[in-house]
Amino acid sequence: MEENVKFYLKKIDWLLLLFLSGVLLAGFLTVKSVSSIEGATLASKQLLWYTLGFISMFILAFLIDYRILKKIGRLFYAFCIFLLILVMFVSHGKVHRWIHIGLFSIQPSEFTKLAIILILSDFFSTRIKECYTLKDIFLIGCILIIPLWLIKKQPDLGTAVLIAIVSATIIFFARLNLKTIIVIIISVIVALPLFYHSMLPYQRQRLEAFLHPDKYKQQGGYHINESKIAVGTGGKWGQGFKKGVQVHLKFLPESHTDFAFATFAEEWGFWGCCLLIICYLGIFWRGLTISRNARDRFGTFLAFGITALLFWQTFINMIMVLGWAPVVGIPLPLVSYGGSSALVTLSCIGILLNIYKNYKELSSCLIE
Amino acid sequence: MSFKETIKKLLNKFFQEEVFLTPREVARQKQYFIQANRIFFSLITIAMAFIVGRLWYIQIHEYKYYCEQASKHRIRIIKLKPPRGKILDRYGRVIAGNSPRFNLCIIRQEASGHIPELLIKLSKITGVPEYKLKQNLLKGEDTPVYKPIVLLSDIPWNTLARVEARLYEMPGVTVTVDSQRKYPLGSLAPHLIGYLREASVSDLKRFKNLDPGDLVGKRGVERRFQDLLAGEPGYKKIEVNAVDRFVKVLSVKPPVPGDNIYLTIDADIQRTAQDAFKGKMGAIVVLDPRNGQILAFYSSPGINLNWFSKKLTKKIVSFLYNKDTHPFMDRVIQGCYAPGSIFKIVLAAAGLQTHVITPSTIFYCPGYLRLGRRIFRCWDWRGHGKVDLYKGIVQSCDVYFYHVGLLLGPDKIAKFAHYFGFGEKTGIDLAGEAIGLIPTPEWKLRRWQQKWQDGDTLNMAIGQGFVLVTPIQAARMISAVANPKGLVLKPQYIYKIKDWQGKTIDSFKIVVQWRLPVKRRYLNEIRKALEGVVEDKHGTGWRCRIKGLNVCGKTGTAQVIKQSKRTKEKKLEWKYRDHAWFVAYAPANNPQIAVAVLVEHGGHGGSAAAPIAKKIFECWFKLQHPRPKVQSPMITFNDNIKIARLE
Repeated sequence: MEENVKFYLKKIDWLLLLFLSGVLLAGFLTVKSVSSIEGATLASKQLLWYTLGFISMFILAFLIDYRILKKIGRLFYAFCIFLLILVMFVSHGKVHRWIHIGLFSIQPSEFTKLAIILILSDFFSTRIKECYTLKDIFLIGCILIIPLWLIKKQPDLGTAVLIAIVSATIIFFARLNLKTIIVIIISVIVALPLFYHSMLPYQRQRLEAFLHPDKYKQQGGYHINESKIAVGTGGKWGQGFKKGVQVHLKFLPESHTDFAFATFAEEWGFWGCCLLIICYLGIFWRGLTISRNARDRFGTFLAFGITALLFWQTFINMIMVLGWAPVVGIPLPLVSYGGSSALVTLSCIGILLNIYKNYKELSSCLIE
Repeated sequence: MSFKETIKKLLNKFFQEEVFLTPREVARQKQYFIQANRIFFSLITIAMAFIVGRLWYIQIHEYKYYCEQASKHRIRIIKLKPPRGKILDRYGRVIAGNSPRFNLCIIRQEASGHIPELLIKLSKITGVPEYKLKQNLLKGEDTPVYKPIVLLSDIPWNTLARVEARLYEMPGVTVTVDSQRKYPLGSLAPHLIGYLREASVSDLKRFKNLDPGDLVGKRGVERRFQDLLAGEPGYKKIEVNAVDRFVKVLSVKPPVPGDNIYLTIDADIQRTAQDAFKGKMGAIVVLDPRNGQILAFYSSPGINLNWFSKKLTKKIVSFLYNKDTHPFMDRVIQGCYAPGSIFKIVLAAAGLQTHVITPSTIFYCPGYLRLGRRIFRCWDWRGHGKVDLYKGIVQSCDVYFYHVGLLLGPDKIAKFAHYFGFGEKTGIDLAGEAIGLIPTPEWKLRRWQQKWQDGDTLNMAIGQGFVLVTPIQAARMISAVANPKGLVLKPQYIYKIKDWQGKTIDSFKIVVQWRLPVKRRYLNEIRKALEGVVEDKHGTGWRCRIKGLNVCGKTGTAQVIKQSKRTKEKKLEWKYRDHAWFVAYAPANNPQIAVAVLVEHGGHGGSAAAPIAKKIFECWFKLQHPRPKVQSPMITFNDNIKIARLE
């Protein structure tokens, strides 16, 4: 019996869980701090989502085999597209991002991220090649174009761009031949002006504000400016829990969602931020290690894709908060308030744990 | 083939291409994955390092800058105005104090949501039409929501009571208190005290701690001691949030009230002087010859200081800017008049000191003096007969002094005039003092390109012609004569300055400017004659005679136009009538009070000016015997006016 327990415990990536708990703690503290101004139920809601996320993580980590996901993946993809179309009709107003179910609301674009990773891993593990060519890229484009277009239509340019970047990372990881790489780069350069043209006025203003911060201090640059001040006032050790002035006087907009990192930085300071970043780095490290050791191609791509997703989200959010990127609606995984995001991220971690478990099982078998 | 199978086939075709990798290729690819993995991880690490670097830059390197930025839009500073210092007389009676003024205000932060209803309610309570309240509210549109906006300023007591009674049902409405100048003893010494008006651009540059809209002293003591009276403003640092709403008070530095300034003015004498001048134009200065303290200081027509607490009405403005009376002009220091016979004191002293005459020198007065082809008349056409110094002064014989003047010559007269302080600024601590004029031959040549003639000397000898003096100079002159040692003292009006806690900062110090270069026995001769002016039965100043008090004085009648014929005063047009002078001091043996009176177009000095001086002496004498104890009706120093409530 004891042996059995030991055997199970060995199959869990404790380091990953340690780093995860660090990030979760930071997220909870931030949401708890902000809940005093944004509504008292915020923290408890977030806790509920964490619980849901943990359940999902547990199921994905231990109760199923991740290879099932390869089969579910396509279905999940179809389901996400259905949700994305649904959200167009269900939600009111100009912005169609959320489907409201009772007290909670879910954000289909968050689930789409996972779906895209699943389907890409599926694609690359089914269609095995040493080098991928333009034809394959075209096929992938066919897969991506529908959800990307739907998300951009919401409008949620940030998530669309994020998904594109994550997909690109995975594609590059799969190894392309030189010709394809050159063609992709050229086509991206050609597409950029078109892309700018298709942006909505507020998105353009944000971009302009980012490029000329002094000119747009009050209008588009307000978010960035306040966020930088919030981070700056944090100093070395921070202002302390629930003492962030910028946040609690409501100077910082979106202090619990997109700018949660600014809230955290103001209250916990430079060293707090370093700790948080180390935790994130630890998660990425574990993710990449798991990807490297995965027992099959699907696992490799899945773990890599998840890591890439987490990394890009973290990175884009952070540089946005620090004033190096235009304001985009990309949450900081596990720190920003947001049910769908937390659920999806924890599920991703669950998948990583599952891949790890499978690899451990295999290696222990081999040893025996 | 079913639909389901078709889709499955399609998908498989999409995903699968039959490519088989050799084991070697598989191994190579695995190697590639591991490498790509490592590269990606190092890229991630670099990216995160960049973020840490950026954090270090913002949070540690630029920490101060961002803290400043944060406090700039988070902290607001509200100025707390201190109550203005009071101006009191020498016995501590308040001449210019403060009285509270109540303003009806609204704080939008607290009243948000139901401002329209509040305005209707307030309109009902105060009886002011609603649109007016709205106008005032709109005027304050730019003020932050946490600051009160004045809807009605200076509301009367009964309105205040009605508003206060219903304040509880009107959240956001408050009554703020600010202070306004109040003159409990009436408008005393208006030109000396000065008044307050809103600061002009140049005032803002000149005085510290002034904000646009603040009141600032515009003249007199209020201006000269603006910085002391204004005190040190305090500050209240408050924290506001993103929509500029008040959150909490961070720190408070209480304001330091202004210093209280005690003037040497004696309110009783001042009051008497002002009453005596009712309906007359002119100036009066009362000095203490022992130390140069100004006991009374008045220029008539005066200005009523209470007018300046409110908006000036048209009627008042037209009065103030009247071209004939010039109420704004401070005649005491700015009015230049021919001294007339009071100048004879200078002549007498000069003659005695330079030994051109002795007290017993006798000139004959036939009522005129013939000089070449011109005749210079004595004021008394009948003549005075044989005149010595005593008679010359007592009866103010012009011919006697014509002779003295001729003997002295213009330069010596001018020299002695300067010794007596004419043609020199007295140095009183007020802006805009006039110098007056003592003519000399060079001056005449320079100014008029004409040679000095003996006729000019004669005119000068009786204080006519070009000679111009100010009342304050006349007062200093008579005070110097009255001073037992013949000291010329600087006229001063500051008795002491106390800060708000009652600590004396500065107090009066005698400033001796110089000593009359006249021997004591000569001065005594003149003093004796001056006593005769009032007490002698032929004396010109007999109207100033007071029982129990020996008064010494000298009358003066300064011609405004040249009168070739002797005309009755009453027939003459008012503005061509003579200026009446009277300078005097008392008591004769121990001078304690010196007076200089000028009545513009008053006629003869003895009849127009002397009675005013008499009233002053009587008042002073009454106060001396016995001096009533000053019961303190004055408000204590610590009654700081409450500053606008903000909490």
